[in-house]
Amino acid sequence: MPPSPPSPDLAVAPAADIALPGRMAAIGDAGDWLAAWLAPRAVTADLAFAMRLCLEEALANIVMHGRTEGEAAIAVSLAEEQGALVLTISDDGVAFDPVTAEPPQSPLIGGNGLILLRRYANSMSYRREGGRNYLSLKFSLTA
Amino acid sequence: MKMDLQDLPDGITRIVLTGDLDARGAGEIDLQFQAIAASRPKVVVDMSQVGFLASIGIRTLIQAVKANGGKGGKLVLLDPVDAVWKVVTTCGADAVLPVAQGLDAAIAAVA
Repeated sequence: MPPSPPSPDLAVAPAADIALPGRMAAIGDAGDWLAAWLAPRAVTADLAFAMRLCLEEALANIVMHGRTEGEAAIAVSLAEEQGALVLTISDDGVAFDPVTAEPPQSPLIGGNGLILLRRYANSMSYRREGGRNYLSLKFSLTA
Repeated sequence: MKMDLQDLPDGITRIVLTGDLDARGAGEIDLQFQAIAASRPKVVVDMSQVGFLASIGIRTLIQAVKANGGKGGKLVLLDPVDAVWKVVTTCGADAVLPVAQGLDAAIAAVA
């Protein structure tokens, strides 16, 4: 008997991780990837908005500030755990902890991404490991 | 992201933005958007068809307000959807981004 073809869902399911170059054009690609990953899942519009916003802000920060020369190598992964979706963004740029960094005092200066990350993710954690930054953003599925 | 221009009476320019004002969208319109904001005295930026806004888009809007104001003009945002305006207020950028609900109010704001 020939092997069964993969189920349609598995055949089209986007991977739960993606590698990106640290350039502005890649941020839109990451948003497309996230939207494809969320599409078959019953998440609210507010949750999808919050996840996309946080992904965009974290990536923009890496692209603009992660390297003094060249492009950072970025990896993003998604996982579902204990009633939450967890977005983990890693990069090989300079060490930067968005959890403890001081946000700007004025929206005119820039750095609004930090404020948005803190307000739109339910929780965040950071670690530096093997020369890479790892930022994990957790979004509750029940909030 | 799409940008359409419409001339209204009394020298008012309505810029209708359609799409997402994120890194990709801001990159697509920024140059032309800033040039129009800086060269027209009365500008209404119709945000009602913008479904997503990120901080890079806020920067685009703030730069347009500053460029317009620097030439003595007036610029107001029209009818942003709730989710988009929440991003603005979360950053405190509503302090520098004038907004109006309804076209009549927007026209009055730049007249």
